[in-house]
Amino acid sequence: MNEAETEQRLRETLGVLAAGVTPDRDAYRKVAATWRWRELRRRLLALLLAAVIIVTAVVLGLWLLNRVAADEPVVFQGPAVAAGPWQ
Amino acid sequence: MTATENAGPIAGTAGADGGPKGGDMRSLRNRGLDLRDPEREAELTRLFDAHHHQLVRLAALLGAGGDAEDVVAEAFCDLYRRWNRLRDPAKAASYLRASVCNQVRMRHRHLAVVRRHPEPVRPDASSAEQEAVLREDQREVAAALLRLPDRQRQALVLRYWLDLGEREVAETMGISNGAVKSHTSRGMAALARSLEQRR
Repeated sequence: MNEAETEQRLRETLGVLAAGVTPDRDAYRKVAATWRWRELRRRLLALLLAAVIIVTAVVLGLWLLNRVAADEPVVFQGPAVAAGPWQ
Repeated sequence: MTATENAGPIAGTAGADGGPKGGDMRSLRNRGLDLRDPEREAELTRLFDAHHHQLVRLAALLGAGGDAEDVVAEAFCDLYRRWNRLRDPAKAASYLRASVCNQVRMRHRHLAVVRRHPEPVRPDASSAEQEAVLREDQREVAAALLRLPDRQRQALVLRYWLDLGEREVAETMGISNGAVKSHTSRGMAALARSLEQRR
């Protein structure tokens, strides 16, 4: 069997096989519902992650502030130096 | 019915991964969580109308069997997610073809793993229906095609059914032009050998 004959038979077979496949008429509705649902899920997860990060940062900050004694400097070390033209 | 006609509100259909029903989505939209990006939706709808049938057939020819619709649905969902990262929207069709090819190949790998375990794999009803419409010689070609390695089958289907050029086949399969030539010629040789033996 030569190559042209094989090619011809292959094209014919693929054509018949393809013609036998009937796509679902309702496919668009299902696919569109799926991609919208996934987009919603992705956005909700991103929102949840952002909320978790913010809450963690706030809780950590409050905990640190709560640990420091009232007369200890929180941000800068050493005695407070007043700045201004009156000194 | 085309996708454009179907583009109205979703009603009563759960997504493939158990997504919400139409009522849930409507209530979410009413609450101000409308997820539609009109431009992206319109482009995807146009692509769906133009390519869905062909992609389902491509998936079936590559051996996806009854999963052909799911494979194509996954490709569209993937494109929707990555739409903003797509460098050239004109290449969306090529991206969809490549996605379908990759997913069919992954499905075959998965089935190969499943077959190593004793659980029986159910025969594919849709491929049995397809077999029925083939002539005896075409049935031989179809059987020989299924015996080819994935890459060779993909190269032959893309080249001789979709009539893609070598460069386009290479783009779709993510390989070089030379590799496409090699897969195509080896595939054709194996096919011819297989058909000769059956004579």
